[in-house]
Amino acid sequence: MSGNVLELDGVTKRFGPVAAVDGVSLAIRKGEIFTLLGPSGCGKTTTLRLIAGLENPDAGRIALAGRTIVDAERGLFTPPNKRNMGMVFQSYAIWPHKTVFENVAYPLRVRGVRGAEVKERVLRVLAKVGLAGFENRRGPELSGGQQQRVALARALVYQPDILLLDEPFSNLDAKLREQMRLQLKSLLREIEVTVVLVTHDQSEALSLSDRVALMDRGALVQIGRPLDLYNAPSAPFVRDFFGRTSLLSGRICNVAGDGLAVSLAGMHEAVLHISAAHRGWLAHGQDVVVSIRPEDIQVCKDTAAPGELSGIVESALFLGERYECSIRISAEKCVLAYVAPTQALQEGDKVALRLAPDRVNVWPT
Amino acid sequence: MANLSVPASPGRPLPWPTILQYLVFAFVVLLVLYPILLLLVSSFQVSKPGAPTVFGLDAWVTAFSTPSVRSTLWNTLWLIIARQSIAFSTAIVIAWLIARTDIPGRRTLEFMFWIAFFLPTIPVVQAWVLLLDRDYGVINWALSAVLRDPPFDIHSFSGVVWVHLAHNAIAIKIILLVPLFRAMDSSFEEVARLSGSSMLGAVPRITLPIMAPGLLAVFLIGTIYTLHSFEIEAILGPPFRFSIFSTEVFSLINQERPNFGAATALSSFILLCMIPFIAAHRWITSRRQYTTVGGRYRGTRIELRRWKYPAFAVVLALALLTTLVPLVMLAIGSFTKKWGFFDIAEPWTTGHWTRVLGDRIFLASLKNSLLLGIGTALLGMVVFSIVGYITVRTRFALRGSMDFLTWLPSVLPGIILSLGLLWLFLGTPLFKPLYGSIAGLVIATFIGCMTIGVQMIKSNLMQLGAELEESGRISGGSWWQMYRHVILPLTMPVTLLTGALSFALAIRNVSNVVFLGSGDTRPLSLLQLDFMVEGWYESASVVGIVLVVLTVSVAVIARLYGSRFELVK
Repeated sequence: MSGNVLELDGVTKRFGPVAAVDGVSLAIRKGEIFTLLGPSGCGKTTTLRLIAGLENPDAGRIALAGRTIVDAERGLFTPPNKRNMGMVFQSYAIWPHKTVFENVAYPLRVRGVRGAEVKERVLRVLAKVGLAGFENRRGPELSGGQQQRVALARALVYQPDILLLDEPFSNLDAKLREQMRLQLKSLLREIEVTVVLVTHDQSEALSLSDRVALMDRGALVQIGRPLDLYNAPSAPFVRDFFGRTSLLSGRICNVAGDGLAVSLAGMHEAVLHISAAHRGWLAHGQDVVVSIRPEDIQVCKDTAAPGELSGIVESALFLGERYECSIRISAEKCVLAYVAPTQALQEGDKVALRLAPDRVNVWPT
Repeated sequence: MANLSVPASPGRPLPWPTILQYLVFAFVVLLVLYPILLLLVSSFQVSKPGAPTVFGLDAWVTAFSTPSVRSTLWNTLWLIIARQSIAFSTAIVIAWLIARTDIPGRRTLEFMFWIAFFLPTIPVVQAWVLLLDRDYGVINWALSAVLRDPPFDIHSFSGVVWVHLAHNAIAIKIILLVPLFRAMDSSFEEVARLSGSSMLGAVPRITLPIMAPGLLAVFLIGTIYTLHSFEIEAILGPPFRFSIFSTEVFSLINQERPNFGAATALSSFILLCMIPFIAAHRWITSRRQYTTVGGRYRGTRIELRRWKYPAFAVVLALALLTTLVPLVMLAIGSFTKKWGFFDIAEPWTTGHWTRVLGDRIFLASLKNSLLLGIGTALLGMVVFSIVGYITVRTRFALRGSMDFLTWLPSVLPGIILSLGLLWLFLGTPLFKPLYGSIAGLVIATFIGCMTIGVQMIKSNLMQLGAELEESGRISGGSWWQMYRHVILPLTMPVTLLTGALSFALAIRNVSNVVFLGSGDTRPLSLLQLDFMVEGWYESASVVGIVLVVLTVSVAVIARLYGSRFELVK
């Protein structure tokens, strides 16, 4: 376990009868960007606050760099100021009565650093986050992006063992958010700090993280690399959380080698071919649900060949870089597909849907 | 096209709304500013009201050469210092406990202090007299078995300070500070802790500096409110020859040969002394408050752990001292045969109740109080609605000044306003009939509740949003139709609450009416004061309970129904 900076073991926090965090165990490796992701109220921020020491768990243990800092059974709760962690809050919490310099210098001053060293270290970290020359501004005079960088500088100036980021982009507008995301990723790579990030935004999680932990109702659902969570969800919650999946029900009509065929309900003779070698539980005649992501559907103005689905374009929303098409494939069922704007589709067009066999997932009903 | 540039001014093409706006403004000026200016000017007049005008400094010379006036000013200053230093530090701790920790019963405790703030002053003072009077006080009586000398004397400087604290000096600061502490984004403190500060280490360097503007504003308003004090000193002061500026003004007028000159000069002096405080308070509260920057308070409370119940016990004890204890004492007092004689065979009687409730004087005062309350409520609902509407929704050129003028009565000592109105009524032939009439009292109490009433209407209108009435107008109705069908039904609940609160504030008011109501128009509050001065404590208790029931029940109903509106600013 030497590679782990932070370990949580069975950590539980209750607010009244509700377990906001319910027996969470995870290990965060040195230098990685680890993201806690989930819908609002899933317990991700509470988990972060438990790590920071702003809340104390009702059960479980937390260890930092091999040293136990929290053990609920023994009543051990290391206060936040003794944990050497840095945190960027959602609101950034830039102290309005202090200048940028004094905001960043504060952690050094309370650590007893004095004189020229304070100045040298503050200016160095401000330069690193791109705020050289802003030392004498006050918090309320800064833009959202600048406040975020001050908060980051303040959290990094004392070289914490771990950096906690609570929804760091949610207070920025969409364009700035993209820009800051890129900057933050390259900055974090450069300083090689271990990061725990909390977000509800899947694209933020997927683009920034080395590993993602998806949470639901206080519990961990799946931990893994972003690509694994997206492509190989382990549970319906994970599948439905990422992207916009269309679900079709059907029955397995053939199992052969590393593939299988599913006949879809409500569409006579529509059969999908799916490569599903790793799914050992699948058997002939079993009812299943098939999930398809909109970007994995190829839409052609054509009649459907065997193994393809035929449908009618019901609506096509133009979003600039693509069309979002809702395509009716049966009386009850529409699927969502993304179509390039070059492909001149119109509402009412008859189309064929081609699905890549390795991009379709099969689930028990 | 001019119409397009002022979309928020409904009915702009007609001249009469503008005329109405100026008329309302003139009305407010006449009631708030004019009496004060009259007072200032007349302090430099040598002549009597009504007589030809001669200017001079005689009044000021008389006032400041009178020894009692000089000692009065020192007393006022010492009272401010004593009351403020104790009340402010206590209130900060309690407000912090209620707003930021997991102390049990937070809502109830806050509500109790709100009640304390609303209790009429004279009944509370009386309750403490019943408890702590040197000869008759029940605590002294109980301790007489152990101690030879009675340890407490309510008729002393410390007695005055104690009643201030136990009445509303602490309560009002708690009411003002709790929202302030609640609004502060807790992440300011949390990030300090993560940066390496201990819990207490962050207080001087982060918490207090961020809260400083708000704390200072509360401190200033508390200082200003100390100058409003009248009833406590009027009852407790005379036996030990103690007076502050308000009771001195009162006795200067209420003597055999009233000394109007010295009274106006003293009032004007206090008014001038208050200007820097009023200006400072106005300046601080008008600046952008950055305590709530980032705003999203996470609702995390500090766990008190083993201090939880000790802290609760202390705060609860104080809350009870400011609410239940005085009320219970008053109730007991009204049923004793003769207060202080607890050893007699049959100490209890309902005689005072049957006698007072059947008394002609009491019934006349009750009628006066009800007329006063209802009159104030009706006048308030109409005028506050119009004033609120003008300041929030129109582009009336003087709306900023109007806003300031409606705020001013909350900082003016009632005794000064009362004296100014007396001057206005006596010195202007047109208003002379108002002197000694219920209508004159209604005007005085109406001014007294102007600030809170207009505030309520304003915040209600701001919540409504201008689109509602704009869409009403676009649908094709006239301004009046829109007002009747859109604004009036939507604002009616809050308008009624404003009326209820005005009623309660009017009948508990003493200092605003003290020079205006006597004999035939004497309301219950002044009747109780007269009973107290005469030493009829048992009858005064009965009147006090009636007053408490009338005011607090209305205020509580208003609060319960209006809890979604900010009643107390």
